[in-house]
Amino acid sequence: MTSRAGQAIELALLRELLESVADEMATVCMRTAVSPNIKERRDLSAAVFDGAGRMVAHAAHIPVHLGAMPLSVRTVLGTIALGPGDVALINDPYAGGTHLPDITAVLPVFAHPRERTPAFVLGVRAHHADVGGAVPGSMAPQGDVFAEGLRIPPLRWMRAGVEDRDVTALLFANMRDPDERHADLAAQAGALRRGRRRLEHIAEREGSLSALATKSRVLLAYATRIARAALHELPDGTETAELPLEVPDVHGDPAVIRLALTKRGSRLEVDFDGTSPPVGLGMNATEAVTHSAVYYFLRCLCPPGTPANDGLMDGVHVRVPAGSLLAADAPHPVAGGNVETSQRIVDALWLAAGSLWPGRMPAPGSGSMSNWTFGPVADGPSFPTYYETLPGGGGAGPAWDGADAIQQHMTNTRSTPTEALEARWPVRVERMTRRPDSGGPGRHVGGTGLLREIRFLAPAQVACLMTRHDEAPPGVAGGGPGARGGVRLVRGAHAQRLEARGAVRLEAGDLLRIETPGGGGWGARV
Amino acid sequence: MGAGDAIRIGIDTGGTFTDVVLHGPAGRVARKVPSTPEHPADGFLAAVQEVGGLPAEARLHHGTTVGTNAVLTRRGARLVLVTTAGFEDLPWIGRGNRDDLHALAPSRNPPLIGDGMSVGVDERIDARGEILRAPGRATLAQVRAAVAERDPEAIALCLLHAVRNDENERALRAALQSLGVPVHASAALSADPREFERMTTVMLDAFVSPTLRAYVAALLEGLGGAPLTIMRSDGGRMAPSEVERAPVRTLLSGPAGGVAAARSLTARLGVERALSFDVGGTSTDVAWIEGDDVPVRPSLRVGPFEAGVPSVGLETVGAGGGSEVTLDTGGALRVGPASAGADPGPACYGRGGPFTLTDAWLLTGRVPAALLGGDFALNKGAAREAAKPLAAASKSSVAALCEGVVRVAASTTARALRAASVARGKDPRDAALIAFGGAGPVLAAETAALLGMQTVLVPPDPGTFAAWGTLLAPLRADVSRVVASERGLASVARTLQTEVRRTLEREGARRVALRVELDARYAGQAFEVTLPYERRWQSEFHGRHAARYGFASADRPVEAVRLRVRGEGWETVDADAGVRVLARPRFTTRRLTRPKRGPARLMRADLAPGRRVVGPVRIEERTGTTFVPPDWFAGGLDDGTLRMEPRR
Repeated sequence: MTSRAGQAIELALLRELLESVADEMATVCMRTAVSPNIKERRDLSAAVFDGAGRMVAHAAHIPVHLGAMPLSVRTVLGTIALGPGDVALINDPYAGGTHLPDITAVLPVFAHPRERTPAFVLGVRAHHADVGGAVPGSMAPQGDVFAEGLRIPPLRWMRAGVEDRDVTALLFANMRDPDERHADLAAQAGALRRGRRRLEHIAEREGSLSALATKSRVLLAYATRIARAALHELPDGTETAELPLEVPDVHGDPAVIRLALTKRGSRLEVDFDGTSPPVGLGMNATEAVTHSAVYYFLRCLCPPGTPANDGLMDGVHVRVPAGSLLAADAPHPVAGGNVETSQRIVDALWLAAGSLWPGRMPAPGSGSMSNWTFGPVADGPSFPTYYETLPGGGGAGPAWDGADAIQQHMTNTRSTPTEALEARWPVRVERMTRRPDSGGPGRHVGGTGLLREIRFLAPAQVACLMTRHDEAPPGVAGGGPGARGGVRLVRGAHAQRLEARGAVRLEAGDLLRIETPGGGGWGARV
Repeated sequence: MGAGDAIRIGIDTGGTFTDVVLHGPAGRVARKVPSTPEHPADGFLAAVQEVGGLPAEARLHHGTTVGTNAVLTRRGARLVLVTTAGFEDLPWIGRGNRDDLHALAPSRNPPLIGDGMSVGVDERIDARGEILRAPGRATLAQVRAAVAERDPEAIALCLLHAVRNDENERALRAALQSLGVPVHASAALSADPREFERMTTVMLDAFVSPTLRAYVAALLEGLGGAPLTIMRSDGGRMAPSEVERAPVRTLLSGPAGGVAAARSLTARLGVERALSFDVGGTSTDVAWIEGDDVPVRPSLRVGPFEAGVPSVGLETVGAGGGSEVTLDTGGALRVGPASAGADPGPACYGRGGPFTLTDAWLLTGRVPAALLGGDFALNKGAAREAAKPLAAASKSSVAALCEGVVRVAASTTARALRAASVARGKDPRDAALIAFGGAGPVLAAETAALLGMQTVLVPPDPGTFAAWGTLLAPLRADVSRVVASERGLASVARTLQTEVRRTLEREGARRVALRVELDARYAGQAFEVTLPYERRWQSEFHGRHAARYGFASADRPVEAVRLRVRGEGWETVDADAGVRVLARPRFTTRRLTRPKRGPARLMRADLAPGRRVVGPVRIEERTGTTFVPPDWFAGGLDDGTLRMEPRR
């Protein structure tokens, strides 16, 4: 067999093996977790890394975890000398994290117990329904990271497979619903152990874990080749885009994301020079989130079936100005950077790419995950904290209308069924429909937003973290903008507009009406 | 199979072929006839003729793809959906997620109903089943007019929380019945407490309803009163009247037949644990079989739709004999998911098809140059020509490429085996692999080797095994009821058991086995745990909750939510003991002469029980080919099953 044929086969076999490990970890975590956010909405991801923390295989569920998890894992490896059976936790947003609710659990896999460097490292990241802080759900806009929730630097949680009870006590003393948190973290650890067992089993067939680890690196070059081939086909050039974030920066000026997108040969450069300094209210993105957004953009340009690993970004250069709102440092608040600003970065990439490759790119969609949470108040009945992101209109493209009420870009969670929601929380959903006439007009029409009406049967603390209430999702090539979003509190005959980013107490009988933005239109109407 | 049985005929309709197996006192006959997708009843009746027509007192068992095809081609009833006001758009919103994570344009599968065909009703039930608003007479009349105006061919009804209380659904159903088209209600069909999934289920049910009613009517007319049962998605059988009530339950019943046959094989051979390995042209279906148990999952996936009706727990990957072989832009070899289909088919069919797994098998000698006992000739030259561009692109010989394709195919189908075993905490090394379908026995040993499996079993006539399974599957019926309190639980259980027993006896069962299960939860919880219903069910509940969710609260009150009774029935009185074959007999080895190139050849009929051969050898029969790799043995068992195991 010649080497090229050998490689074509080897690549297919290795990829299958390592992705099956990541898939199995994700499945185990989903099955054994307790909170609907992980079990039902599948807000988690799992990945296999080599000993140096390079991601070689990933079970794709949530795009925003893709580019971010490797940074978290490398931070852990650089901080703690993990031994066999140790599980580390991290959610530190300034060290590879996204925002506090995303907790990553990390387990090293050693070829020999006496070795100091692991052959592989496994990671499972999941969005927890609460990690403490001022407001239930840990997603409400705050002034700094301390009010957002508990920040976990790289921390050894299990030593040789045994949970450190002191750490457990400290963590769960600072979170709401400690039983649920504990069960969800245990599900992550169980998934990691399953992944290790699978890797060891594969290694029995492949010779050894270290041989397998060495071989697995060809997958990185493989992804690089696919990304480069995809880029090579596209026209060269540079285009810029600028989008407002709808919030003031620390100096009181309207914050903007600016970028220059350059494509030359099979290389891509994204320069965020000119982007504003940090903002208040949790809308800062960490550098990991910014990288994830670019990673996602690149992945969308690649063919179906492209592997998700660190090799993909090899031909891509990302420049983020230090200390800007896209590379926030401590203690700037970041809850919304992961879920809102990340969408705006993608919108900006979409617009610049739309100018560069007009026949290929659709208009930006709703551009907001329309996050909101609610939890109990001190003087009302108790219930768990609820968190959801809502779908909005998809952008129209050069040859198609935008999809209605659909999750886009950096998230793809499923909505909680109304029947499950009402069984567990004191609310009644009165309407959930497509929002009429909310798609941007044009030759091709943007998708509609969502209209959701929820009646509260008990007092509750509600927090919103949304954008696109002031600035409409833009249309392209002459297409019109999608409708802006909005949240109203209806109390009796009185309707009051709520802030896009803020918290409010609702009383029993109140109705919350949420309208999510429509997608941008494409082309002038004929 | 019990002695003194009347003649039984099993018919499994597939996309290309209709398989038929006749079993009677004189033995067994298995045949394949072409399917007739435009008039599916014709192919069925032709299959009956193929095995000698319909003898008196014959029973017919049937697995059909009529419903599945209607869904996949979206050719079904013009539907109206009736649902709780405020939720009319749910078919277009779904769970809000998109199908492809990385498509430039996010999109989702469009629903089975047209724009404007969804009608809202002013009614509401809460999560505990309390009726907040019942549809009054004026509302019912209004809804009826709105539905009639849309001129439906079938009506799907799905109201919020109907699984807690279906009074409003029943009132609407009564009001709509007089429109003269089938009315299908969600709670009568599915106990799934997720409204979008249940709505999808009832829409599927209504969508295929007129087509299946017409099909079953044509079959009954053609059979002139001979007793007929139809395979269900969960591997049981049901009467034609049940098809009319819940046609969605026929979806994917073909693969279920294969699993029923595999389960019967394991029982006969005394195999404790097995994985069924059903490889067709485009996909591979796998199920974990343990003892007498086949996993049944609460939902069913047909194309892009997920229905909340029980189905055999199959794991599927998009790789089969017809899967296309490609080289991606990163230089990796891929087998599937694109498939050459039945037309043009693989390159070796000589109709200009692409290079596929079957072509690689042909060129490496794993399959013969003519299939179906010589009726279907394959073109080696065309296969080799189709391989050349790929071989050139990967700078390798055609032979090396083909060996690589086989390895990649084994690793791809192994994914389904892992999903059915390791992902559920089962060790495949403890299980036997049961290979069938047109392509399963070719690939089985090489895939088993990847997972460290020690035994592969190939039944006789592997290509018609699913049709054989329809003869072995039990009749099945189930019913569930929401219970308001623990008081009276026992009497509800008795009522339901009687109901299921009567249903099965009406369908011809003379022997019935019932299983009673309870869905329970901690008071206030939204999720239920299913457990066997017995006197000490509360303590069992805590244990199961801990196993599933990681904790239990012994002092928290537990509430019963739903009772279910599942029944199986058989038309014969005696248990299906059959011949119990020694699972690990002593074989004597038979030497074969090997050709200069490729594996040795053997006709399956020439391998007597108790004899074995050493690979590489290709064992041929009319409906399939088994490949025994180097370092593997294949031996004949008394019942005609082929047993393969690695040489130690």
